[in-house]
Amino acid sequence: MKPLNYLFVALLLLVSLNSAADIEVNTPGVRSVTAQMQMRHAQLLPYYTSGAVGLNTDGSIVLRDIESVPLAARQKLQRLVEAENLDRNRLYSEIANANAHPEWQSAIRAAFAPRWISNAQRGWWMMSDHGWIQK
Amino acid sequence: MKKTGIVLLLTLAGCASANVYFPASSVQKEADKIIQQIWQPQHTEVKGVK
Repeated sequence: MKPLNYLFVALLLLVSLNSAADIEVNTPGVRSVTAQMQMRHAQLLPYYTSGAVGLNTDGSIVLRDIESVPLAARQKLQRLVEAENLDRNRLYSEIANANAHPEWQSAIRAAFAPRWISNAQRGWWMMSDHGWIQK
Repeated sequence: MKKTGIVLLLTLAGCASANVYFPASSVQKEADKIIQQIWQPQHTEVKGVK
């Protein structure tokens, strides 16, 4: 029984060390939300390029210049931006929950925020301390 | 048995403290992968722009 106890302890230690270093993102929930965002991106891309939509500092996107969008497309774009922000929140919470730390959601959002901006294409608009700037 | 108990206690304490830490660098790396996956198909259409 005693050697088994040690084995159990060693396994626990390995599991705890491993979980401390890496975050789990490969779950059905995360895959489903990223697949939806990937599809939506094709529709959002022209508006990132035109500057109608910009990246916020908090890991969300903003409809920053609705005047530049044809009247007929405005409502659809508003819905796209809302849906994208809901999905981004879902992504952050899915990752937090997948790691059994729902309270990490805001830290995950904060970690994602600069990565969105860093991965953005040149010409896209982003919020900064001095207001909207173009990458 | 007493020794095992102590080791187990220390390990559990280790688990608790290890999981409290937010794995910031791992999250950053995974964030890059996820974002590039979401934005990827369109990136290939715009040559040389990143």
